[in-house]
Amino acid sequence: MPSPGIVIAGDRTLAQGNLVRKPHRWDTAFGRERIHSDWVNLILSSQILGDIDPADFPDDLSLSDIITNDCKIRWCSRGETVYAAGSYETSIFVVLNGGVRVSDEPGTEQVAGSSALPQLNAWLSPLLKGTFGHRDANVTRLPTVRLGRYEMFGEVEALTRTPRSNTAIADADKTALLEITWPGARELLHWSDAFRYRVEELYRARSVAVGLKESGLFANVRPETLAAIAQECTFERHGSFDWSHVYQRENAGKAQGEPVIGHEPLIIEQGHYLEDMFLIRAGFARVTETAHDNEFSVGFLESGDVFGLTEIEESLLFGSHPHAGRGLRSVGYTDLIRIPEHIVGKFILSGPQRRGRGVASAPGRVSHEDLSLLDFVVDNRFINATNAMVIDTTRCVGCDDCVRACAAAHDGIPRFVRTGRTYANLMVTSACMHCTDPVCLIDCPTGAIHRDAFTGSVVIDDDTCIGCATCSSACPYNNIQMREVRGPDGAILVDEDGSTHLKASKCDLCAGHSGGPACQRACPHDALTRIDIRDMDMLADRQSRV
Amino acid sequence: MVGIARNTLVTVLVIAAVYWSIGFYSDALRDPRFLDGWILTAVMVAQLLFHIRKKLPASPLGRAATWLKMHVYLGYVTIAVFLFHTSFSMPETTLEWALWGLFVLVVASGLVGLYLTNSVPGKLQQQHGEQITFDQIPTVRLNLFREVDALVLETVTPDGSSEVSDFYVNRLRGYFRKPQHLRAHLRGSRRPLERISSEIADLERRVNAPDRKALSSIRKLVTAKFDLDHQYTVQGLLHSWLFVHIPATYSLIVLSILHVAVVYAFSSGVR
Repeated sequence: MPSPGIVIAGDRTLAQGNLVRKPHRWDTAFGRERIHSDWVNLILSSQILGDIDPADFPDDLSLSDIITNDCKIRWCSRGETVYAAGSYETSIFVVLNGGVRVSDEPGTEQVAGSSALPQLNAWLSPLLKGTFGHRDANVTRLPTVRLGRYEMFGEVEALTRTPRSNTAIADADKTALLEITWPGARELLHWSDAFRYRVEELYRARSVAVGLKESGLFANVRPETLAAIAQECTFERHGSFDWSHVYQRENAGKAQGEPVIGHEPLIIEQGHYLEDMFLIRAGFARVTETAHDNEFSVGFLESGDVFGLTEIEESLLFGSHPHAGRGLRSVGYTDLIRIPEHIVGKFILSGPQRRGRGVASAPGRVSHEDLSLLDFVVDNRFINATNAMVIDTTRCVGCDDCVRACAAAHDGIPRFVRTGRTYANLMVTSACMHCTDPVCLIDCPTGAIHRDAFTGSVVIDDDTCIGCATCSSACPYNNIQMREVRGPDGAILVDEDGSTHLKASKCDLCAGHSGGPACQRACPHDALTRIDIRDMDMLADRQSRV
Repeated sequence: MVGIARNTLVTVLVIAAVYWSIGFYSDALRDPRFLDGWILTAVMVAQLLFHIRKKLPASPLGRAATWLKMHVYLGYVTIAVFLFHTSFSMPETTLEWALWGLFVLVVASGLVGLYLTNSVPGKLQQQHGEQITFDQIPTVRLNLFREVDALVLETVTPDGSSEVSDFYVNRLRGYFRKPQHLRAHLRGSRRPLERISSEIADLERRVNAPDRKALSSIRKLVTAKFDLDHQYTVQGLLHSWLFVHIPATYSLIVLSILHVAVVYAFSSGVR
């Protein structure tokens, strides 16, 4: 809204229509309505958030302000879905009244966007949105865990920025939940040690239980046995959740062409004693081999993959001590579960559900060219990309139809730049890749940049974006631009302090337009495609196609 | 390859069907030129749809790549129908000559464009590895110019002269300022680069060690500029064929409408 009567100090006097009030955090509260002070007082005076101390918070970011603006009270009736498995929203919940049942079977209630037809789901999402909050008799029949008063849930996905692994359903009428949005949770985690310990403790405990269950390695094991197994497994984190800045610093510090492998946290060195099998819970890891003091990639692992299974199998067979046949390094951050050798032998190697998905790209099956491609993909952290824009430069004639299409779909302003890092004939352009782990949304003060709950695409809500550029500087790929905002007359808008009114801008996969990303559809030479880079076969096909 | 074979087969079948229809029409003692004329018009209009698709880049009208394929294969059908329509003979009147000339121009420029778009990006990739975007070439050129300018300045003695700077002013300044040797690049010749390199080699024999070092760096920049000019020429060619194809197409449409009007105005008897 233009603010009439504002005059810029000094000799600059601008037309009133170009002046706007600079947006601030909490201009719009989460859920559009601030929590009533009675609720805030109740939350502060009780143990709802644990031993959280308001004195830990700075004056300009008080605990009551965080609760008022970044939380909301959500009322549910019995059987109502709080969130469904596969959805991408990242709030943390605390039960205030009533109860919640969390389905123990991950992935049983897939929502739109998590299926094989994301586009169809995107079209249907306006209709499907209505299914949230509805009573679902099927879901209530699933094996569930009941959570009662003041118990917390949803923290695993909030911390790892992953889709919901289970479904939560209200278990009583008038169930009241405190929904803490990610920006609020981030502040609580940052300022309150008590809250952080509570959340991390829950995260570690639940991560092991959920991780073991989700992996499918123990599919035929009874729940009580699995609980006992979980007790023997340990949880480990390598690297940092907020890995983007570390990566950017390292990239800036290293010489051109210097390999990044050496900078990545080592999980286990090749040849070292391997007492446990590793199950990757979240993040990515690089599998390496070392020859003549030269360490190189032979594969990468992501959530659900295991490392060390073959070595443990061989050691049990020959009665020797297992040693890591390859090295393992954390790429960004890696959460893993250590499964002791005797459990692997007893439940996995003897079980029918043994999985062969250990090292995705084992040597012998990968050509030299593919290993270089693998290095390119892992070194540049493109393994994070679920929807990267890749251009085949042997087909691209530079007609810029893709850029024009993007502009046409976004009020005349393209959301990407047709340049990027290249490997052979493949250029990964500077367009948002809709990461598996979107680090750009960690520090957004308002939660304006978020994942679409249904499709998982990373999108920006222009109404709540305050133009602080936090996301833009956090993106390791420089794929978010800060753009000036123009008024209806085309003039650039200016904040009352004289600075240009900015908003973050990035590819949104043409959300709201039918037919998918306009860039891909507009390419007449089939040079541009949006792909999940983790699908190395597809990438290799793209590289070698005639 | 399967796709190409399938599309070619369909194109051949369509051409055969048109040929059969014309024969059938002719056997009925009707003037086949009306039939093949209208078929030709219809196919040309269908080809124009690709142009419309390009003008609506964000529209959900299917993939432009599919439209381009259709445009190309319909182009082959157009050539065949045009030959049927003209009875494989040369034009007689001025209007017919204009139509014929424009049609040939549109087809020829289209085929040249097809060849260029299919071959040039691959060759550029092979020769240069990383491609520089056409819009960025002037900036890269300016940076090279500044870099070489700075190198030469370092060789200038306090009295303001040096053999390197003289050579630069007389021989290289113009080379770095603007795109050069466009014809050589079109031919794929590297002769101009060899000539400059040999002149630098001559100069290297006569100068002191620091100047020799500067000349070695300048030689690398000369090669970089030559490669940049090659990219500029070839990428320019990739863009420029459309400046013939599109205006010629519009002119052909106007003349075709005139042709239809004239035919109907002066025709009589069986159609």
